[in-house]
Amino acid sequence: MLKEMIRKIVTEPEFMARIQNGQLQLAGMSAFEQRAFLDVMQERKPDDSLRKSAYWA
Amino acid sequence: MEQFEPRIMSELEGQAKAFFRVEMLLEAALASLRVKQAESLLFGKMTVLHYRMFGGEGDAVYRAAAAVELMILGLDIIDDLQDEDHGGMPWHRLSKDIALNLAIGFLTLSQETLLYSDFPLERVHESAVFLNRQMLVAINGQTLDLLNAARDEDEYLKMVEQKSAALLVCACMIGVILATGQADERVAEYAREVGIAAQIKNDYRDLLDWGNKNDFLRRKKTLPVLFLLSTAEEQDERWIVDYFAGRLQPEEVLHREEEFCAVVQRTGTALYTSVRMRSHYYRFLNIIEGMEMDAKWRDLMIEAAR
Repeated sequence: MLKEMIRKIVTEPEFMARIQNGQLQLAGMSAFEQRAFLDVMQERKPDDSLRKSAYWA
Repeated sequence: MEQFEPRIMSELEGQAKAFFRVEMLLEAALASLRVKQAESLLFGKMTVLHYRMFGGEGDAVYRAAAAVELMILGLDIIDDLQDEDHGGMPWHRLSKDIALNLAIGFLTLSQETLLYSDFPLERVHESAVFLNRQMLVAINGQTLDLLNAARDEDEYLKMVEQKSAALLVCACMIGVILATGQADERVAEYAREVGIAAQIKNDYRDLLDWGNKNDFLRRKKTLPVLFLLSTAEEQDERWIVDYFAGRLQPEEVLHREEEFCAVVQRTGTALYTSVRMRSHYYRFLNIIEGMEMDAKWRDLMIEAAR
C-alpha cells in the first residue's frame, strides 16, 4: 500500500494534491505509517531528516 | 542527566590499564576508547539513563555502562575489519591479527567488567546472561548481513533487528535489570524500534555517499536499495538493475553518482525510506508515552532517539 502511494506520488503530479486536500483514504496502512506518511508529505523534505547525523551510528 | 561521560570513560580507561599489559595493545586500546568518547558513549548513556529511569541509585552503574561500551567497541572493530570500513580508526593502524586480538580483548573485558560490578550477584548474573544473549543475537544478524541474504524487506528488517537493534536493547536493558532485577519487555520493544529506525537512516546515508562505503556499489541489499531496485526497472533505469545484477562493472557506473542521486529522488526512494524510518520512530513514541514514569526520563529518552 505504502509503496503504491509513493510510486503514484512521483509519477502522477495530481496525486499529491489529492493527498494534501484529504481526498484520499490511507486504508491499508498502520496508524504509525499513516502518521509518518502525512508528516513526510507535509514537509516533502525527506533528505533533511535522513541526512542528519544518526544518533546511534 | 548527570555528567556520565567522564565517569564511564574513567571506568573504561581503568579496566584497559588493568588488563592490557602489552604496551602496544594498551596504546591501541586507549586510542580506541578515545574514539568511543568522541562518539559520546551513547550506548553507555542508555544504560545509565535506564538505570536511573527505573529507580537505580549510586555510582556502580558507570562500570556496567563501561561493560556495554566495551562490548560495542569490540563488535565495531570486528565489523570494520570485515567490511574494511572506517579507514581512519586506530585499529586499522594495526595488523589484522593484532586488531582482531584487540577486539577479542574488548569483548572479554566487557564480561570481566560487568561480572565485577558492584551489584547484588543475582542482578549481575541476570545482566551478564542478557548481555551474552544479545551479543549472540547480534552475531547471527551480522552473519546474515555479511551473507547479503535478505530477499525482501521483511528479511532485511529481521536481520536489522538482530544485527543492530539487539545491541540497543541490550544497552537499555542492562540498566533496567541492574535497577530492578528483571527485564522489561516494553523497553525491549521501544529500543528495538529506535534501533531499526537508526539503521534505516544509516542505510539511506550510505546509499548516497559514494566517497566512502556505498551500499549500492557494494551491491548490498538494504531497505532503500530494495525499494530503488523495484522502481528503477519500472522507470527505465536499467543500468541500476544491471549493475546490481553484476551485468555492469563498477568502472562502468562510478561516474554516474549525480545521476544516481537524482534517480533516488525521482523514484521516491527518499520519500519511502523516510516514511519507513519515521513509522518505527512513532512506534517507539507510542510505547514510551504509554509507560508510567517520571516525565524527565521519558523526555531524555525521546530526545536521545530523535
